[in-house]
Amino acid sequence: MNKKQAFGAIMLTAAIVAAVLYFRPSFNAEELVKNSELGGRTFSRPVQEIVSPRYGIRAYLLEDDSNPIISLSFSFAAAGSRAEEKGQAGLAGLTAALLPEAAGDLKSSEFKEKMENYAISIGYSADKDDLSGHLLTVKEYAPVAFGMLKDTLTAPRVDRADLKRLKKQMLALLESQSENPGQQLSLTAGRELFGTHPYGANPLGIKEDIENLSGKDVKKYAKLHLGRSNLIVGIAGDMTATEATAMLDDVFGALPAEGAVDDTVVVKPDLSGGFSYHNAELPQNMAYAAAEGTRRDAADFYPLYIANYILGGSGLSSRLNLAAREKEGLTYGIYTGLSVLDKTALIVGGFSATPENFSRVVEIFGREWKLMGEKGVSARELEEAKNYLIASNNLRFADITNISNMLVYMQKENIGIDFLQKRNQYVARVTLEQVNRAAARYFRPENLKIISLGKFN
Amino acid sequence: MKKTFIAVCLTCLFSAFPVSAKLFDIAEYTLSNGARLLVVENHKAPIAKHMVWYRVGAVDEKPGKGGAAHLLEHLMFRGTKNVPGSELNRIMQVNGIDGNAFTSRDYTAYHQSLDISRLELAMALEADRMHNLDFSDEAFAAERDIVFQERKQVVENQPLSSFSEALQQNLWQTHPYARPVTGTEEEILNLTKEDVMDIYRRYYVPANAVIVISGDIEAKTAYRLAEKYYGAVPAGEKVALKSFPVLNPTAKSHLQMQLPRVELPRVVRRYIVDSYNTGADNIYALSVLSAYLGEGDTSELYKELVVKRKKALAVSSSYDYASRSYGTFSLSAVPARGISAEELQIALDEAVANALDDLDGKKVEKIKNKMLAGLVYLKDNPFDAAYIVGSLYAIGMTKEDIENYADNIRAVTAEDVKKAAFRLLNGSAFAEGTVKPLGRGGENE
Repeated sequence: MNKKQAFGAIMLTAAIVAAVLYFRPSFNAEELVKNSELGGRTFSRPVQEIVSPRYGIRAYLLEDDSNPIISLSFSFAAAGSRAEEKGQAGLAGLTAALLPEAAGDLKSSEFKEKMENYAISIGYSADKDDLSGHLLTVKEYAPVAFGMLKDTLTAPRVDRADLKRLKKQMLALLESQSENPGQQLSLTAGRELFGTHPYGANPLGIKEDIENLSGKDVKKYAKLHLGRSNLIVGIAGDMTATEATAMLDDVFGALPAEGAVDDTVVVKPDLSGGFSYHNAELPQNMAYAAAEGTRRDAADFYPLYIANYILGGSGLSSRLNLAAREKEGLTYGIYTGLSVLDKTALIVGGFSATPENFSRVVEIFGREWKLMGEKGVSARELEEAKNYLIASNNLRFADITNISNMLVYMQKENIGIDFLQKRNQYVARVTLEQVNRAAARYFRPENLKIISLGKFN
Repeated sequence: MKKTFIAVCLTCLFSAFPVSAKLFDIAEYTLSNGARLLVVENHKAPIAKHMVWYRVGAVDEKPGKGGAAHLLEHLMFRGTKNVPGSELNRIMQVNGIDGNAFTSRDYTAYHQSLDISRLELAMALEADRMHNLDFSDEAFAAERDIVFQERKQVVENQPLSSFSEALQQNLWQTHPYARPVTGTEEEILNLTKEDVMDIYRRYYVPANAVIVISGDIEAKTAYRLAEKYYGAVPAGEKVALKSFPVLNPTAKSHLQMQLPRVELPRVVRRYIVDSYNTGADNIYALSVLSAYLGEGDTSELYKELVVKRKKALAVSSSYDYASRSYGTFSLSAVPARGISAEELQIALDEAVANALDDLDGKKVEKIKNKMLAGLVYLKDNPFDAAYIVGSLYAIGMTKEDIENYADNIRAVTAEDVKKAAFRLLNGSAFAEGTVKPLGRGGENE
């Protein structure tokens, strides 16, 4: 070995050492997780399907006696705002507001005071598809709570003063929608995407319709739409199957056998034009993106879910946030997500940016969307997405209300009673090929519309 | 029969939250470098919330450097010597950790919801960025632009946020609570790397940090692990307790705004009152007063102004005692159609006076019971528990006072509430504001 060779060898060695040093991760996350003494625990409480003896009412139950509390979620399918008749826009929401206002022998203030005294919470809400309810109680006062809930369903009072007051509050809520540019944009987008289909309407209703709604309308709506045939129930907490089935008969047994009939047609979003803008005097422009998506029980749901996660569903690390936020500082945030309604399935997205940044963010959004469709994702991106989805699965069990809501969702979307046990397997078995096929199918420039609100030149 | 049942129940009712029961069963430790650790065990699922609270917020910024604490919070996601660039976000993502951070006027907090198998990882990452922050000039420039966009989105685009900010300035005048947490647009654009690093160096030290872990872990294990990961961070210099200006209790200001995109007029009045730090003895009576006056649909103001007199569509009160300086007591209302903001202000004063005239021992017992009945639910969600415990401890509340909340509420008498109300209405600075739709004279017709 001559001097030159020796020097070369030393340089080579030095380069390798430097490379090793350079690439040696000084923070080894994988090792930390692998060696953590806190690993290997799972959430293993099973979900059981229970059936009430007298009326055959089915429900999912997740028993958990770690706290003496019970959460009951229930939903009346197809009883949301899309079930409202012409001239009655707002009736589903008004019904949901009035049911827990006063019931049985108790007037509004008495009913509410009783709930407060026993720490019982009973509430209803209506969205575009369903009218849903929720009850939270401590085990000790569960009999009181379920008695009150039964009254809201079978003996709602709909007192005239309550009706008048709640209508006024609904009208005020309707007005206040214009104060929030995000809500304004979402209503505009609904109209553009779905036109005269019920999904195009304001879920809060129409001013003139709300003004004309009567107590009779509310009682009739409840009677026709809330029945045992369209009822879905989820129960979580300190309740045994025997207690739960008795409760189902008692609380829901007196409902009419038949509830809402689902006669809304399936609809696809109107994406014509690809871009639209609506002028408004805003300091910052806003955009709402929409595209056709897939159903929750479709074969390509998980592949699309993962592709979307990588594009715009993973917070700060998503491709969109890395490009528009982290790199160029153009926006506070940009996202995409899947939205599945009963009669349509969407990919949605959004961002806000000042007028001088806005067109650049639109450009980045379109570019990344197209790139996802054309090139798909890498094996590493897929693996990292799966890791997130699997490792974060248990976070859904933090809140008892979240658990009972999930039990309703599992039945509504028909994803199986073993969903909680199997969900990580569903994610794990998704292949790169499946993700890229879904990406190519959904992330096409033709399958995207950006609707925007703000100042445009 | 039914009546008897209710009567019996009312006496036994609040066994749902028994006397002397602790709210959270917090375990409290001090690490070798002075960092505090609070642990709330909750074994319902293999998950936890991990938080690090620093006692630094907008109040600690130097004049003209508004937004520095908030910008620093953003930059804490932009790399350290060991975890460069945006690697932290990627590591959190692939480990299923839902993390974020927030800045308030009094504190800054970093938090992660995670599977318990990732707790050690999160502790290592937080401990690392407690003393190794190292971001590039490009990252700084981009992040400053991002917080500028954030302010546009969260404040400027929301007329009610602009109103609320103006009211805060009126109320607090020269006190640092007058400053917006985001800083003004001009301040944000003029911030330098040195401005944020100055806060980082002075305040991001173990002695000024509170670590909160709530979830599926034994307190002793959490302590051992905290010492392992956080214990290695150099103690740094102790942060001196900040002194705040003393405010003149006779200051009263009135603000009237008309703003575009406001559809419904609002009436808001905010009083400067005692907080845990300026008068801990008074905070429970003020809490009962707020619940009595305007918390929920069974409160006196709601029954009087919304249900009976129909002057308002909504009315509420709230009281915040969890602050490093003074506390705030607020009344807010939305006038009913055809009622002017001024008319509602008069009606609000009358309703408050009437409610106080009616206040007696029986009513106070009832309201206290209502406040205590729901406390049992605090044992459910470990994520919420971490937030509540952390936000109280970060402003200086002791573990004992957090735990004994129920007993302290129980001890409040009607006399205490009346005294608190008298001081509120007669000896407290306040700012009253109305906001109306632009160009419509404000009548909601």
